[in-house]
Amino acid sequence: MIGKLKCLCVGFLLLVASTTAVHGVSVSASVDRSSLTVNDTFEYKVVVQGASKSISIDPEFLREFHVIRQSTSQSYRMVNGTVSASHIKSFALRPRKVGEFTIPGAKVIVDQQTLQTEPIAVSVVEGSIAPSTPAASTQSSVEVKPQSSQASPDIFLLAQLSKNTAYVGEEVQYKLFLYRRVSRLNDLSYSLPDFGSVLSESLQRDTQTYRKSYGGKAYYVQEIDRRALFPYESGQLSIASSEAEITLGFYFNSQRIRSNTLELTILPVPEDSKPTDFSGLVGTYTLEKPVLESQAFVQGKPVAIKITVKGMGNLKQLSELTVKGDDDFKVYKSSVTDQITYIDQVQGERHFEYIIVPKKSGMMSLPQFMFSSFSPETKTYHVFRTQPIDVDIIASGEAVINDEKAGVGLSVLNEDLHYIVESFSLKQEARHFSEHVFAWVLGVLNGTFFLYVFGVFLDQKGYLQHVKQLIQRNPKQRALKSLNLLKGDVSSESFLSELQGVMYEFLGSVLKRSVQGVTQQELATKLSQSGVSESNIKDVKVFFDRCSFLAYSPKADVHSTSKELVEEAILLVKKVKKDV
Amino acid sequence: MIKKYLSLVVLMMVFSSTVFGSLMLNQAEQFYKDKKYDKALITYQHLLESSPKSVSLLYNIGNTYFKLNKVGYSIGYYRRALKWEPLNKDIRYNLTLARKGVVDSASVPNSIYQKVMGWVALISLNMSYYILMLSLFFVLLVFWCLQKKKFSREILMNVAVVSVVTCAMAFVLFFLTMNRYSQDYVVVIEKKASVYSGPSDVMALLFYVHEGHECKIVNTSGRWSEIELLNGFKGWIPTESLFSI
Repeated sequence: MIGKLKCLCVGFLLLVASTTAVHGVSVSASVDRSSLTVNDTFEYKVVVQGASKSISIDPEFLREFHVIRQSTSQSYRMVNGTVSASHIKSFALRPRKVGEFTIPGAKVIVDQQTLQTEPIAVSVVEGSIAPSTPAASTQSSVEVKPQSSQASPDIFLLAQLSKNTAYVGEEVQYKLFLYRRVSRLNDLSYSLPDFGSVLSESLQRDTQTYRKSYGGKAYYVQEIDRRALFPYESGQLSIASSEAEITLGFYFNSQRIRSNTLELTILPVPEDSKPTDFSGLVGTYTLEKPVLESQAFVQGKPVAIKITVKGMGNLKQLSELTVKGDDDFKVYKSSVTDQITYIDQVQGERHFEYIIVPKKSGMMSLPQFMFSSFSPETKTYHVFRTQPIDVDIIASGEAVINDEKAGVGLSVLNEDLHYIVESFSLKQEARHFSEHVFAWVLGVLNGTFFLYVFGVFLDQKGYLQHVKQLIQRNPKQRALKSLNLLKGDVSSESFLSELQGVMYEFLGSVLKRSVQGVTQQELATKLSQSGVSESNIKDVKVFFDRCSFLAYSPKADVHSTSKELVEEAILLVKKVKKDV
Repeated sequence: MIKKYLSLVVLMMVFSSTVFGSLMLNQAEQFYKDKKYDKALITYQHLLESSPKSVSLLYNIGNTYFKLNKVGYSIGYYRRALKWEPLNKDIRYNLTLARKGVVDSASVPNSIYQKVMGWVALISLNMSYYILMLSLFFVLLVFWCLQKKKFSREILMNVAVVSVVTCAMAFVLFFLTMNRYSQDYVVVIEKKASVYSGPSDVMALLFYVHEGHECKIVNTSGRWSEIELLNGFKGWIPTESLFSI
């Protein structure tokens, strides 16, 4: 029964993979054969598509087999100018014993997520070579053809290095170009060679397709990959070919082509005058001025200092700075952050943050931070160190009210004051608002406006009328008051006119209208209508007649009769008011 | 004739003092450029006697003191200048820079009141007065329009409410600013000054304050002043160790 099943397995191309996908990342596993003898070696392959970072797989799940070797490679696919990458982890396995085995799902850690492939069944028989059939990967959409070294000369890959000789740690650029005679390109997938011990960083490629003559023929040239290589072992490095699978159009078969191989001579950095703290940093670098978190130093209180190394090359090679003159300070490495760009070349900044704690108080120099690098251009070593910074450290007991508020925000050492004001007028002095005319104008304007608005408000509400009435509520008293005043000033030339004026005003307030210029007949009628008795009206008439007589008679003795007239007027006021 | 001569003499005196002041200013600027800060300071101080409220002059003196490593005076002059121009970016920047050199700074409670007072500090007394006057004028205008009954009463009533609230806020702002201006703020000018529990150096030593520390005077006794720090600490210090803002 088991044998029949085995035959069935041999008769079919067995598809034994499944896919798990999370957030655009998919994983699949496959074996190149499912039936084998105990002496055979087979390949177990895990393919991760869409992962932006490297993957990791713990091979513990393959404990039923001997892991002969394992390797990692990357494959790239370019469709319409967009490149997608696949990470492939391959294990060469040999069975330990005969039987039916199930390889458990591989746990793949991608971008801090764990994905798992489906288990795969493998049958292992004893003795001679088991009939085997290669099993195709479910992920492979392109049939694997024999390597096409006979690919059309109208299409080829060209690999180039920016230089043929470089120092250990120096950046060398690897560029891969696709040359083709036809402009159309349907599909392209390519894989780069294994660079071995050389660190490879992906750079931004030139996305333009341009025409170029090569060997007397015109080609469309497209850069498909660019890498920055940092070799770390001296000697001769052979870079294998890159491979690509290309489909030019619907009517074309896919072609597999490979690029030329390259040779790179890697020189060791010179031993002469090599600084003791040289970390292998090769390139062009500068050291920025350190930035102190605070300029106020207190004994035992930590202060952060930031040092920035800037330049072109593999900055990550510089893991830490050498500290010198730290006897009076405790120095701790706090953090390292990078701002590195991968455009034309690897360049950027590496920020080191150290914590400095002064051990004692007094005037002291901060520890110096240094590093060294080798410049391939000048073929010399450069030693960079921070400038000495003198600080006054306060004894811890003195700064009793110090707290975290002190020195909030970073103060840069090379910060300087904003410059003084030049050529200003000394007459332009600041003045209190009370010294400004405009302020007074505004104040008076507002005051007047307020009174006006308030007055209108009172008027509209009728309060103003009441006020007026309150003021004029006793015309009798006002008249009497005026007459008494006149009594003391009878010698005045205008005595008669003032006396008549007082009486007219009194009668006007009684009648609630002006009586100036009113005839005697009219006045009598109005007074009668107001309830004044006839005898009193007659007395009023007589009084005004007497005043007129005295005013116009040339022989009249005003002085002798003036007091008498005032008394008469007072009596009249009292009588009329009594009637009203 | 005498009147003519007198007016001519007065004119010449005014002209010569202006020209002389301008020349001294140029000289002080040159001293500053040549990093002869002590000479620049003397010249600026001389000019300050005739123009004590010149903001630019106060600012320049603050800069000169800073260059002479006298952070206390520097902060004092910047704050004097800031009193009249609280939004001047140069003064604010340099003041911030000068404050970084201060060894100790009292903890400030980060309450809403403190934040509000921080915003209020951005407005000068003159500015708060003009804000008050303008808001008052606007309120009166709205009430006048209401009396005239020419405009939509409903809209005007809403505007009136808003304007009255604005005016009330302007009043509060004005009085807060007045209150701030009336307080005696000082800055410590000694490198390290001892603060005692009473107006004598035989009293208990409470704590030290360092140059550039800002505080306010709450009481004086002879040549001693009682200061209150922003965190509420109080103590007595010789008045000559302080520079009035």
